[in-house]
Amino acid sequence: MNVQDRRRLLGPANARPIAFSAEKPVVEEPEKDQDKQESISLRKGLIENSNGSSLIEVSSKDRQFSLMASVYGPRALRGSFTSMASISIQLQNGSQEKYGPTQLREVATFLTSVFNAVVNRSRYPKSGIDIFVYLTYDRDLSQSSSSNISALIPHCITGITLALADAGIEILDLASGGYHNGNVFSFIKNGDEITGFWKDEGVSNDISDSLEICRQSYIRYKSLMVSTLMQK
Amino acid sequence: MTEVDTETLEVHPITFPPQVLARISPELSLQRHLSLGIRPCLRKFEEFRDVHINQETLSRYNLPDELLPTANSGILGSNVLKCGKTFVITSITGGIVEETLPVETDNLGEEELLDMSEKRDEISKYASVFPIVEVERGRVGAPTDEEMTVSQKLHDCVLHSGIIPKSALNVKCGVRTTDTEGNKTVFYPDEQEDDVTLKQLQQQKKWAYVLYAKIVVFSRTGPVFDLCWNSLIFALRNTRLPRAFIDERATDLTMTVRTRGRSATIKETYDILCDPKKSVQLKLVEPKIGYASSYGLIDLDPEAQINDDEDEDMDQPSSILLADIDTEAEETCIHSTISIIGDSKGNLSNVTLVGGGAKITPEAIKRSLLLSKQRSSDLSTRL
Amino acid sequence: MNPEGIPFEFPDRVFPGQLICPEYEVKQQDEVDLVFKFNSGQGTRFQSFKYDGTTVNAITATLVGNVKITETTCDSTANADQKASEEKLQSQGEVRKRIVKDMVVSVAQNDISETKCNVNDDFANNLPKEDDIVLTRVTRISLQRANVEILAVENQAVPVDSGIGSNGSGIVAAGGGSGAATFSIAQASSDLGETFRGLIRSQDVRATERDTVKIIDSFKPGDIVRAQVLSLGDGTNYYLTTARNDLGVVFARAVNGTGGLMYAIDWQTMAVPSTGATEKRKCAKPF
Repeated sequence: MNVQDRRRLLGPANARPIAFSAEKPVVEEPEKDQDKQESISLRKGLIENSNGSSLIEVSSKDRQFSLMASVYGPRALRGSFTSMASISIQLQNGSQEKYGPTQLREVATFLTSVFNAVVNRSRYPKSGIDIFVYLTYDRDLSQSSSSNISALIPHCITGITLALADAGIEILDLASGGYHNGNVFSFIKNGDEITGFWKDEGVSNDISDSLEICRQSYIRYKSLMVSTLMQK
Repeated sequence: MTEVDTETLEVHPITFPPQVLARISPELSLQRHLSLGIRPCLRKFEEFRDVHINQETLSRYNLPDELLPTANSGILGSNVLKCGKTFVITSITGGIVEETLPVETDNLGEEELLDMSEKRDEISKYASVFPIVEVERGRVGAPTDEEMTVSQKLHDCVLHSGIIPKSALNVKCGVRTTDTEGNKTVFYPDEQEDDVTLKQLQQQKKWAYVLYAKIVVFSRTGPVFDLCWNSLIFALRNTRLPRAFIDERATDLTMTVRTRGRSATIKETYDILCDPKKSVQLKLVEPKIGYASSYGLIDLDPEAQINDDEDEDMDQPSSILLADIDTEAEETCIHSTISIIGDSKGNLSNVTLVGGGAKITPEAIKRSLLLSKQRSSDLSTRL
Repeated sequence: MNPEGIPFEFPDRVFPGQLICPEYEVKQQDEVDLVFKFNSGQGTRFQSFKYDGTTVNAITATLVGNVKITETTCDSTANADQKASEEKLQSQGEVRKRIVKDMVVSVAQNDISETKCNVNDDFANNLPKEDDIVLTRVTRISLQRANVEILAVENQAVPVDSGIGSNGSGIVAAGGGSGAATFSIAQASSDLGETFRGLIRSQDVRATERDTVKIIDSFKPGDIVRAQVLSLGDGTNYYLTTARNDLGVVFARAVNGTGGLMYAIDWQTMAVPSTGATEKRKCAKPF
């Protein structure tokens, strides 16, 4: 960046961020305990100046994180007439600057394509729906491979769906997804329809296994969402 | 009720639901509320929002000890402050900057001179944090005016209130030695006073920590400065600075660097690293810590009152002091504001008066100073 | 929750994606076949499902809320169609009579329907559409038209996030300012792109003497105007009209917004009660 940012207080230019001495990581035996029972808590409607919002907190044995999704709009669009709403999704790093901007943008693009299929866009002409996902914190408790951003995608989908429902924006179905070995599937209609597929790592021949595992977690998340939405 | 030519006309009022009225005419909505003795947020005039804080949840020093060596989180202190419906997440991160002064000079005269000049400039004894305020409002792009002014004001207020002395940010650098078997150990000179050999390893360089604060405001319902300030103070109070060290091989390393083909300059580079486990508490000047609160003054509009008895208007005050401004209606309609940073004993570090609407009377200032003391004593017990 | 003896249970509270009912349902009653045809209203949508190898059209919810079913009175053309179909069926040897009932299935969001019982059809988050009554603020006037920003759709919930405070287009407030204090408010609120905008052409101001309308004698910037949506207009503006007795200025301040509130004393004059000064406006139903 050769243009100096004059809008923010950046501090002395010659300061270097604190670097912690890299101690050789404690070699853990790769305990592949499959009972990765994660506990999820969902909340909706906590951000006052948005039309709808949700908070997801997930804690499992090897990862703790929480994210907030907020929905703004439908907002007026400028320019030419559009008969359907256009959806934009932004992912934002929380206090830990963990993911790079390209990584976040990639996921945001994927999420946008998922929600283009989920939101009843024809109900909102001439408008845009802006969705923000804020990754509040994300803490690895182990050096397992599931610490990448792909594992967050199902929760992003759940969070956005919940925020959209909270905002009263018409959606065709409650969308959610699951993560397994670098594959992410997003479903609607009780797992009969796939709205998105993301592949980051792993070999390609285990996709059908992943599909089933992802569908199970979709059904689990969906029932959680339903109970959150239906409580008064 | 309007009178035209002795003939009385009955004006049919157009009624709107309260939330629609608040949108199309916030001023009228606010005045109507005030005439009922209540604010649009259903608080009393001098009632503050309740504050909940959550300390250290994001900080690396909140991690279990066995995870510290490998944690890459650089958050040294944090605070989540919830006030009404708004919540503020503050995280403190750090950097290290090399200072131009040597740590210990034999030249006593120079030191004296420095001391004298520093005394003249009281502010130069103190350091500040570099805050970046982000108010989430469903927008992307450049920071808004509000974010910029709040950031700058936070920076200036921390500096001028003298909470962080520069000495608290000095890096007391340790040295990492590698013995013949390849085991690395870190010695901190101040921890082992008696060890004479380490004195020789003392570097001729001085470093200081730089503190950055990222303050994210969610669910903004009103002015955010006092929330940001209080959250920043709470976060600073639990900030821990990591111990830093350099490798013994680097204690007097110099390098020759050629910059853009011009004159060769000598840059000394030290690879300064931080201890993943050891840390010290950031030492703040406790008596100087104050908490912020905001007040607004608004004139009552006699036309907008809802009073059955017309005579009651006479003994009502013409302007009202409101504490802790919140909601859109108050923010847009109140132009006279008082913003105070002070502690529970009444020591003030910042008072901002902005006139523009109602006249700010000495009584209003006295009253808000009193309220500010009460608010500070309440907030200071939250830790 | 089962009006007019529809032979199955309707779900009471629904979430998005939940099935509400099929498109058609038949009930045999005495001598006649009661055919219910369900149409999708607010908060619902037709979706096709595969069931036992056949594709079934069914109404599903798209919002969280309570199901409402209302019978629509068929207009003449629909009736004619039905008659035609009935005749056709009879000619095929069908003996039983059949009555078709059109029902609209919609989902009302709970928080609104319970708090405001006096208003009938209010749904959150509805964008202005044709024939809706909207409340607008005048941002700019010219000889030919008045530009407005749409603040609320009447009888409907106010969207939270297009306000002044939450988006920082207000004047600098306590302890640091908000967004657009460097602009004047009118420009800021329209230039930030926060609100939906509309325009009232001079020929749409009133129903009579449309050629002699002077915008300056009808609206002033800052006035709150109750208007009806004529069309969705172009990409930027909705086209609005005030050519009705109950449409026009509902809130105005004297002397371009600096004076006190004014009240309508006839259909084109407003007055300040405290000073007696009058100004010209196109007022909404003063009496």
